[in-house]
Amino acid sequence: MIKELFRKSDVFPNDSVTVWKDQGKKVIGFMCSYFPEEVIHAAGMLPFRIRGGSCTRTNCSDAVMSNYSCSFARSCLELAMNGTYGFLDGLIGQDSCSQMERLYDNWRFRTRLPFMHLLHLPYKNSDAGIEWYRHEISVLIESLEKAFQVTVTNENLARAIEVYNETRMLLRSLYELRRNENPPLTGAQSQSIILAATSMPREEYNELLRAALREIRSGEPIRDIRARLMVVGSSIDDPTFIKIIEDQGGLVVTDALCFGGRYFWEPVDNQGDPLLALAGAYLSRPKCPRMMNEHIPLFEFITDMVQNYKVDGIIFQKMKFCNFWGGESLFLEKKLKEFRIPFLSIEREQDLTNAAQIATRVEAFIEMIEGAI
Amino acid sequence: MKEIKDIVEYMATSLTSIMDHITKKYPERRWLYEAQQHYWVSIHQARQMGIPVVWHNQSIPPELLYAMGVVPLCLDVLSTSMAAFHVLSSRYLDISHKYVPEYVCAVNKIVIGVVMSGDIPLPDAMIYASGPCDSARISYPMIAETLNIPHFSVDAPFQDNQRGYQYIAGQLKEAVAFLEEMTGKRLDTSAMARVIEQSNLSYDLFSQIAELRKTTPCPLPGKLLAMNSVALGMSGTPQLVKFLKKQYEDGLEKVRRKEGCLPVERKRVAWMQNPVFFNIGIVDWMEKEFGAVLPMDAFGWRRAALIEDVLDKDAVFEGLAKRSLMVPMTHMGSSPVEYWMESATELFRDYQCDTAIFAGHVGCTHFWAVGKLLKDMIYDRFGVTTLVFDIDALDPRYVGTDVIQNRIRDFMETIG
Repeated sequence: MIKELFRKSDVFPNDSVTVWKDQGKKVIGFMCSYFPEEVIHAAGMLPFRIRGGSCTRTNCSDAVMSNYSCSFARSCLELAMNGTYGFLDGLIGQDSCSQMERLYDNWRFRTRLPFMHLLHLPYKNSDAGIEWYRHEISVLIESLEKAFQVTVTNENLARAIEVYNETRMLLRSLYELRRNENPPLTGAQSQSIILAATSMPREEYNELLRAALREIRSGEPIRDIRARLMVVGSSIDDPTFIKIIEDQGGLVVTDALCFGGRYFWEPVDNQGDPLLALAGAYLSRPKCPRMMNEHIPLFEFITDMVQNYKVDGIIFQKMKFCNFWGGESLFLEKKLKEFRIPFLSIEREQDLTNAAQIATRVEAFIEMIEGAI
Repeated sequence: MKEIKDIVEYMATSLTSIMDHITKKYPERRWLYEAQQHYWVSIHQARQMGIPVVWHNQSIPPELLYAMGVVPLCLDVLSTSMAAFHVLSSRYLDISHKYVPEYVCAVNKIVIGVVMSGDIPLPDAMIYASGPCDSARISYPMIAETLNIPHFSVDAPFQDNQRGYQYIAGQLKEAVAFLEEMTGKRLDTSAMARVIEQSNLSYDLFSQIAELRKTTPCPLPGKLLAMNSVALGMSGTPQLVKFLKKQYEDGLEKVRRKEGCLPVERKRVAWMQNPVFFNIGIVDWMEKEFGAVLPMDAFGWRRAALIEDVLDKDAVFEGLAKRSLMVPMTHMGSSPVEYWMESATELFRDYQCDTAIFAGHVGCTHFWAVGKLLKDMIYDRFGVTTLVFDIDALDPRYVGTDVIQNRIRDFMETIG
């Protein structure tokens, strides 16, 4: 089953999406881990998280977005422009960051989809912000209902929350296994499993993941680990980056990534008003530096991970032109030094053109950790 | 370079020296710099007089801070003002690169360089809103957290509607409570009314000046558009009113006489992005060399945003919320591209521009990402080709004045 999950994450659209579409059902793209997928699920549609994957040529999107845009956004746009995302019936943009918002702008001007909606995500986690987000989600639901002639009820939402909470619980179990002294899976494998969650029907995924967990638990533990590492920073939607790290002998045992632990860490409260519960849970989930008043909680999330997963060193990777993680350096690197955890700060591009340089630096970092252990 | 202990003192002293020089040599130009001098001297003196200083960013209306009796320092004004002092700004940009990547906007990097070098006394508090861009959204909270400055953030959504105003207004009220606690100052309704009356005058003048600028030939030079950015830190002060009143009177007189600011106006240029802060004289050169005037830029102040009942607290906060959203660049930077397109459309439709230049600031990655959409829109709707090139608006080491002039010269020669 684990191989089946890897396969689902490798290509998109995968066969599960194709089957879904063949049944006449809709697929809606979304752009950020702060997006409450439960809403799409409750509308009877499939939420599919947009990613750039292993897109290596961005000729068309470079011409449109310029080289001053992050290569993640450019890769996503390239795939939109070359038809890879032709299976989408709609797209929900978010102002998670300027680049994602501009990706949405370019997408709707260049390749219009039948349904397009921009959902404002507050930059602040507060009571007013949660109430604001709740309203934004309700407006989105109205748009979906109108566009697709569907009805989203509180019961559907509660059911969706239950299904997604099950995913969260299962993925927490997966991460629990990574705490072992000799974990049974690599960081790259773990990320593939998470990526699959964002790109296939959720009930089917949960079933596969339950079976995969049984397989993983009975699998061979990984030995000869030179260093237990944590990856922090910009969005990574392709396990190749983590594989480069692990090829040097380190094992990525945890992360603070939006395609990683930050995607699923906390469950959504399934009592009371589901929209308020979704707004509150998503705004309060482990943080991206986009949230203006949550830098200390982000740092605490990282340090809790370091302690719980016995992390020897952190790889702080920043996508070029990712202002949020680039700017976070000012505070985070100072705090990590004070916390006395070794860290390696790396700049990277989506297409990993500097893979060899990254490998060399990671190897040196691991040697440095080994010397200190 | 002479060691600097306090950049605010340096700015205050420099502006005073500039004023002394201008008073002797060009007394008719004193009005251009009086407001700026007052701004920096006030901040410098605040420390000596024990008045609390509060740092803010461009999306926080300074009226609120003046009304509380604290002295505001707009960090964006600090960096854009310092950009003219090349050796100094380069020094702080270099220092910032020890802490953040080079692609962070220089407006924020200069501030980071200044604060991390310790060349500025820390404020009593800091307040910032989420406009206009990611670089600002991350830099200001980072500065506050790193240096343990008490701070308050305001989420300013792109929705320019009643719900958006009320959301921001509610947060501005919370900000007042925070500032009262941090500074010991209280917001007094009558003081607020006085400040809002002054700011109403400023906004009214901005709107009237914008109307005058639609006239052909354009009565006022392009450089003033860049100099108006001092309003980011001075809205609510009589000094800003005086500065704008003089612009308005000069412009009105020119219009009455049917004269332009140039002997012969040959082109009307739509400047799509930031001024070249490190040398705002480039627009003087364009005027002189090509008879090319800037009637308005895409980020310029145009709307009145008046607050009618200055004694109604709710109306005042809602009005300030509107102003927070309409600060030049803020809304266009934080919102769907249509807002920038609409602003650009006004330049061609209402200001009769016939030439377009997008000298894109490299730190404005959010504008670069939709620059092509804008350029295509301008061509499709108005048949005008846009000159596109990159600059760092605050760092002449990226692309210097000569290179910029060459690009503009080549373009002007091509379009004839």
